[in-house]
Amino acid sequence: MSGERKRVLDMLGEGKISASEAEQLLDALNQTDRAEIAGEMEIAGEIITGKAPKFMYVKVASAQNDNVDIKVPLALLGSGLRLTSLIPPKVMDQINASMEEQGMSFDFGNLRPDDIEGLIRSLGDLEVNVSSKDGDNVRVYCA
Amino acid sequence: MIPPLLIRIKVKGNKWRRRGRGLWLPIFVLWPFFAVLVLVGLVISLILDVAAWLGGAEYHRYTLLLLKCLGTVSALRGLKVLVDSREQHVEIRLI
Repeated sequence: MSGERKRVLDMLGEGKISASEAEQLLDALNQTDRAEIAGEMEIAGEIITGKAPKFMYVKVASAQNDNVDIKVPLALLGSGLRLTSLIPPKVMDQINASMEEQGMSFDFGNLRPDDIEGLIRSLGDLEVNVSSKDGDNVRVYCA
Repeated sequence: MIPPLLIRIKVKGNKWRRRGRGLWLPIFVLWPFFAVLVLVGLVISLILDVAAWLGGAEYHRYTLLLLKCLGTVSALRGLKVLVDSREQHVEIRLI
């Protein structure tokens, strides 16, 4: 039991405050605790996941000195995904049907803004490194 | 979100290995023209939305769709594509 709660209950026991006043004080303490916990979780979440990445980098370096370096703003990805929620339903059905024909059965209409934010934040941990025996390297990461 | 202000295009061929040709395109000069087009588009989309809503159509969010498309174009800022081969060096940046 926290110190503040005990103090409220002691005051109730001594008759210094009424039951309704004690209830209000305990509710206020509960809200303060919840806000502190939420704040701590948010800070912990930022420490764990880090700040949202801003760019996706694709770097290809071949042994023959043919190099590709692409930097894509992740805001473009997020904006494009959010755009799918506004596409007319008939057009979306055609897009989904075309994608299914290509072997990708994914419904973009099911993407929610929270999912997109979480996806972009998670991309900060994405790193793909491919090295071939010919000396070609492909690296994809977000930062 | 601010749309891209400039496009930087740089091309270097084998015989121009040292110098190459670079070009800065000031896109911001075209903003007033695009603003007029966007305004006209917004008016048309608003009329379409109202007509669709009054007609009982299921979909009436053309204005929001247009605004989101503008947001997507604005998000292009920062895009960089660099292709460097033995024959040529091509660089495109949206600033």
